[in-house]
Amino acid sequence: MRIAVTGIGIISAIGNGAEDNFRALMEKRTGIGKATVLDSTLTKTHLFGEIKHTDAQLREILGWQGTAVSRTSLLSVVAIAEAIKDADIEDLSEVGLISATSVSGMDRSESFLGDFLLNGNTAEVERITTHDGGTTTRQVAHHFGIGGPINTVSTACSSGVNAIAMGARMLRQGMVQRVIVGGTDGLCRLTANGFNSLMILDTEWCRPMSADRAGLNLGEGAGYLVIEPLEVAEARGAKVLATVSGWANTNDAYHQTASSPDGDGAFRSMKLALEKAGLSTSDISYINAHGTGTPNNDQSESIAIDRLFGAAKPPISSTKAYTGHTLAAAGAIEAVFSVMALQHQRLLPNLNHSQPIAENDWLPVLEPKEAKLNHVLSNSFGFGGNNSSVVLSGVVQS
Amino acid sequence: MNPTPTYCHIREGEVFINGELFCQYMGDDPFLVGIYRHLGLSYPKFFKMDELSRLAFLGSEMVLIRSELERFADDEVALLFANRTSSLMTDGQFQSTLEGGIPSPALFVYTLPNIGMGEVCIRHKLYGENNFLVMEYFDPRQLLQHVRALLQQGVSKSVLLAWVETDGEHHDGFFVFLDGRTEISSDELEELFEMR
Repeated sequence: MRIAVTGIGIISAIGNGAEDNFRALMEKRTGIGKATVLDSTLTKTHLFGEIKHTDAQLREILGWQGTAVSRTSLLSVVAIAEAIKDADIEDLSEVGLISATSVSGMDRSESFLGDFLLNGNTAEVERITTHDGGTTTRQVAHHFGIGGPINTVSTACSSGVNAIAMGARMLRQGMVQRVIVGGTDGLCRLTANGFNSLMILDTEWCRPMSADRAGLNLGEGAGYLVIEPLEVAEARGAKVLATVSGWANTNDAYHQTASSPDGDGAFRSMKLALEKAGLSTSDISYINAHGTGTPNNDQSESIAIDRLFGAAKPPISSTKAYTGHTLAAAGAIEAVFSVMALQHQRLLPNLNHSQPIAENDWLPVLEPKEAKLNHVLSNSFGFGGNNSSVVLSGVVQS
Repeated sequence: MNPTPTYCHIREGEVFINGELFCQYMGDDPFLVGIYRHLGLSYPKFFKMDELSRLAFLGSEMVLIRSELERFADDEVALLFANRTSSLMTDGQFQSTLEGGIPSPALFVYTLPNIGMGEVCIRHKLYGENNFLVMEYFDPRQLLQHVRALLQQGVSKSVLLAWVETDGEHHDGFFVFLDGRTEISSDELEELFEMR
């Protein structure tokens, strides 16, 4: 069974909607800067890929009643609404939702805790009922009347790709006929401070795949794809944006947070995703790297790419310097970027690159070049050694 | 059900392997540390793990060593874990260090529910697929569908399915190893989950 992408939706620091996001990528315009919405002392010293709407503004835009909804859910609703419209589907009673998140309703719990610790204020205690990931997804499903199977994937920074893979597998298994897959994460104090405590945040703009890289910038956002069997999509006359042709998840089995020096998990996930797609390395037209900008990730990922592709590497870039690292949303946001690269036949430029990595025999894509793109490989690697790759393919007219 | 898969429960002070009492809380050490000692393990990394990862690690250990893993290549054993509250307990502990002004990186690492699966993979050198689902309750029908999808569509030839829930005081761990030899219905899986 071939799996069609019939709709995409995205909100990130570079814009609300696919069009805005693509324009920023083509104009090499970052969304990372000083945070004005996030309530954290780290906003004084660090840069974030923040969406410049407060929760109240998002609730108003969406007409959402009550404050017991996490930023994670609100961002998810914005992106899913776009994906549903793009896919031109109205009846969601049998559509599934596989949504990835790691932050979940942490932001609401923090807001409650702050009030509680300072003033003993227990009003609006229902804010903490949005804390767990299952609830953040259920609220979103309820909002849209999504009645099919619902799942919440939480496997750190590869969650977004794992949600896509899980949905694709469910389609093949006949468990569902159409499913919305993707991920969402809002910024919150816990992740900002946590990543800071690990000392992997750059205080300047992150510099993926550059020798002088010094860490990542955190971001927030949501990305979703509507996927369905190609024949179902064609039968209803839907426009097919791309196909999800391969995916894989492997464990690096090396360390809780660090990637292995030889990139074993990354190598295996890329290799297995290609095998699943029935493709060889020479079929891949572009790699959207995980490329967080940490010394460890970019080195390990570069080694893995070199091991698999050898001297004949396709163009490679990371888009993390536009959006920041959006954690569980990253894989889904970058899958949306990959679909747009296929649609527009454009390579997505890497930002803030100034020095080649000495061991690499390649430079990342630096300009938004036109290119013949058939198959795009997108990587997402997470803590816990959780490594995922997905292959998105252009639609060959039959 | 034929043959019966290997399974294990870690619940409320008692450990059962294949339905037989294996060990119980003796009061000297914390419950999970007691199990570690009872197993005679020498794996210092265990003491760095948070409670959820310790639970995942111990249950997996008891099931995996009884599952003839040598039948499988290192990427043919998938892990599918689930729970209701994700990494809530450790989130809280990390939050306390944050309130105290010195956020602990050692705790932050464990504010993700899939880290325990990573620990299991490191211990047993498993490079296969991992997925962690956050759901309201152990849903045997849905989980079994995903197990079947894993076995039918990918490189995985076996799945360690687990439910791992703890708030530090209470533990609810269930681990079962499923491969092509075991035909199990969702009713049977539910029965295994419920039994002690």
